[in-house]
Amino acid sequence: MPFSSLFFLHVFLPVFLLAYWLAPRRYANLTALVGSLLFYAWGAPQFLPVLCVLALVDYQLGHAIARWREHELTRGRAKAALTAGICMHLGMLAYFKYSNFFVGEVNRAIGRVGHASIAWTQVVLPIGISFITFEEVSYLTDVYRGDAKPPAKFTHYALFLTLFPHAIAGPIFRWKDLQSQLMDRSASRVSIQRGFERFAMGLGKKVLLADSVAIIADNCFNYLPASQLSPGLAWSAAVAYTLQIYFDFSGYSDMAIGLGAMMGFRFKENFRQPYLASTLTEFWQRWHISLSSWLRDYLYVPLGGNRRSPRRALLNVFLVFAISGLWHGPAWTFVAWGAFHGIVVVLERRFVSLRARVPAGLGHALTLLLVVCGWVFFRANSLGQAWAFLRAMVGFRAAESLGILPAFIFPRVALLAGAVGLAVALLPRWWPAARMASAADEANTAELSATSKYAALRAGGCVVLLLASSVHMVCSGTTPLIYFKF
Amino acid sequence: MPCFPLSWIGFGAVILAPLFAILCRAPDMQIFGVMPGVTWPELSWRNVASEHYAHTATDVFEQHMGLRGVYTHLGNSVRYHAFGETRPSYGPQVGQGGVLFHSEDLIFYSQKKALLPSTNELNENVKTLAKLQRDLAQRGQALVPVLTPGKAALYPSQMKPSQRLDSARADGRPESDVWVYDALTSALEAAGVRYVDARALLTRGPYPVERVWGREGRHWTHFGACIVVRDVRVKYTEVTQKPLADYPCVLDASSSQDMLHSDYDLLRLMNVWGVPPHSASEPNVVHPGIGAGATGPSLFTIGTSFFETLAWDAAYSQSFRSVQMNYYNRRIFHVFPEGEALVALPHSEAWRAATHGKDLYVLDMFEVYFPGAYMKEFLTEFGADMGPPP
Repeated sequence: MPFSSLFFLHVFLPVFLLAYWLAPRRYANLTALVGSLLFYAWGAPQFLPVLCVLALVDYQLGHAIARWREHELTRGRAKAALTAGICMHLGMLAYFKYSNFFVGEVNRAIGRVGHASIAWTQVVLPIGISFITFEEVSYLTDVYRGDAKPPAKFTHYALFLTLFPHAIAGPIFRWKDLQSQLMDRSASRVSIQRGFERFAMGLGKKVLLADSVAIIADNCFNYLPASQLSPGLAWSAAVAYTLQIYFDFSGYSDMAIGLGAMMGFRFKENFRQPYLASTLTEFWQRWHISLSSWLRDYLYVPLGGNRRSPRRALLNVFLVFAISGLWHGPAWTFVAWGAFHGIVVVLERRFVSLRARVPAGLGHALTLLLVVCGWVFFRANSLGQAWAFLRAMVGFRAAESLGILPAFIFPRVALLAGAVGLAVALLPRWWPAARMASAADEANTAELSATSKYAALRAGGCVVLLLASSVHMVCSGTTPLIYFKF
Repeated sequence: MPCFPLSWIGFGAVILAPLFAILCRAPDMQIFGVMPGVTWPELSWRNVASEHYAHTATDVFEQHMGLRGVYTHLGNSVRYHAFGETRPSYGPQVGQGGVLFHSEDLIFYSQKKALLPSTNELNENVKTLAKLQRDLAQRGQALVPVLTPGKAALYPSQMKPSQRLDSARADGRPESDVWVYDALTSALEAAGVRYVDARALLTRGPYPVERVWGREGRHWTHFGACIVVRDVRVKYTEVTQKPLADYPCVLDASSSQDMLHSDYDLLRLMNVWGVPPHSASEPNVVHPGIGAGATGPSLFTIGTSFFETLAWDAAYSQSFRSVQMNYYNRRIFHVFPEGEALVALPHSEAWRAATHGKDLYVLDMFEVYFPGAYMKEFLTEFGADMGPPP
């Protein structure tokens, strides 16, 4: 059940919020847990038992690790338990997410040498498993490192894993960040107001901006053969997708943060205007922050980080990005995207003094260019298609005339959404006041909502945005969230 | 903070309005063009445990959501009035001067050669058609194909530049015209098939284009259909050598239709507020001086929704002994004007009773769908069942 669905907005959300707010405070977690399980079960009931069993195993494992790590004699057991837990989760992820891809690739390889294919039934991907796996791994690791205590109650841990605002598409939470809030929180008038506004802004970003520019990207990537790609079309598609994925995912994160605020949680920001970054390294400090910080703490650092030789540090950076690409999906396009980012970040680190001499404006333009080119790999249906788009973008002209009517590729609504999207994403660089308008992904929303003299105006605007999004969903439907499939 | 309670009321109203509207059975606006709805799945443990239940229940809610009609009209109206467009690739598309096209017509007009029917495919169909026409003629019956044009053929200058692609041909003609219309007329003539060229009738006749094809309609008007029926009767006589009475098509200025008239079908499908039809009323067509239905030929039509208007006109004229329509060869035979329908599988007795023995068979060769599956299927089924000529 995506947040940008009529059923969620008009049935699940009001019923859940009423139940949550009316429930006595001591039952708040139980109400949230029941609501979250219903939310998850609504889309994938068959995976609910798997999720519950995993939560139970983790809960017990966390307590065992905490107990064993206390004493020198049993520390080895703690490490073994941690290793077992991580292997279990990564094994589940590998089976559910990558086995189809792996068997497909093996079959393709052995097919080339004339062998019969391996018989295989396609495995269905449980929704949200990539995010849940990372959360489980971070929980066990933090308990082992002594950075977090295991939960006092199983319901706390179950709620941490399944809490519906983040369960199926992030942001990726860490137990140590949420632990205290799970035990004690309250939804104040200010937090509820802030939550509504944030949710409305996120829904507007997803439905009105991302889904509108998606028309351009989808038409070009899904229906135009390489022979019809002109530089203009290729760039339009790449820029449209650049905007789509940002507003799609950051809009979803806004909705998650808003929903959390309505329940009294304070979730960390997941985006900080990433398209204003002057380097790709900075881009990753602003884009999907919960993932990049997770990869830093639970992959880059254990790999040795920059504690070993400079050459090894660069290799670690590259590995982290390549794995990040693979995490997004079992396809070579994602691996290529991750590797591309990895190479650029490695080069930025290697030539740090040269990078420092590049003027900020030029750095920003270059970073944007690289990010847009990277998204071509991410969106393309194959490496061949990505290559065709990149060739067209550098000026190779189409051999054939266009096969889709321009009115269908570039409806005016999509062009307007693209223009608004570009303004929201880029204007704050030159016009700091615009930061206020596009502050949905900035942490300062709290101060804005309660004290600003524009509070009433903004609240009214958010009500209109909510209505406009609902009307748009009725008229045009919604495009599934991109990150749902990860 | 006075804005808090007020804005909460706003948020609450937006979120709860559709649910309350369902519970209170609040009146809503009609949405035209909605497909038959899904029904609520049976509530049982087995059902609830399946993903299908959730999906169906979500669909049921979205289809029956309170105020859905109002929201649909609101969204579509904003898009139409602010941007002058409908959803991309949605049925009705807004052309120049408010002329409406169906997206299929626009796509067909600019279709590339590779996606159009091949010459071989086209010739095969014409060959089958020619044989069937000859076989039927030997039995004193007629098969008359009608080349039904797409709307873009009648309103080519009303397409916006963004709604058409430049032709790669030196003469500037669209590939669809060359590889369907031109190729088909040439092949039919070469094979000696008698056919009705509805495009020529409607575009080269003395009538204003809006009279034969409404600005807001997907199909030809009642008057346009009448002109086609008139030519069908001429071709019937040419094939069977049986003379028929004249078929006058006279506009009855005194009668008018409301918005439910078929000439406004694309306008209705837009579900938009504040767009009045180009003309407030559409005159009916009358056929003075004829009415000898009992002696006229029996008519059997096979085709698309274009032939509904055609069948209605034929039935109203009372100059045919009977009028039946086989809509897309779905094995449902509608009898006009009563509207009764008979369902029969091919080669069954009921099917033979419905299809065989008619005087005049009229086949819709709608260029946008050519060669439609319905056409090929019917020609094959009927041809195989007919047996050798006497």
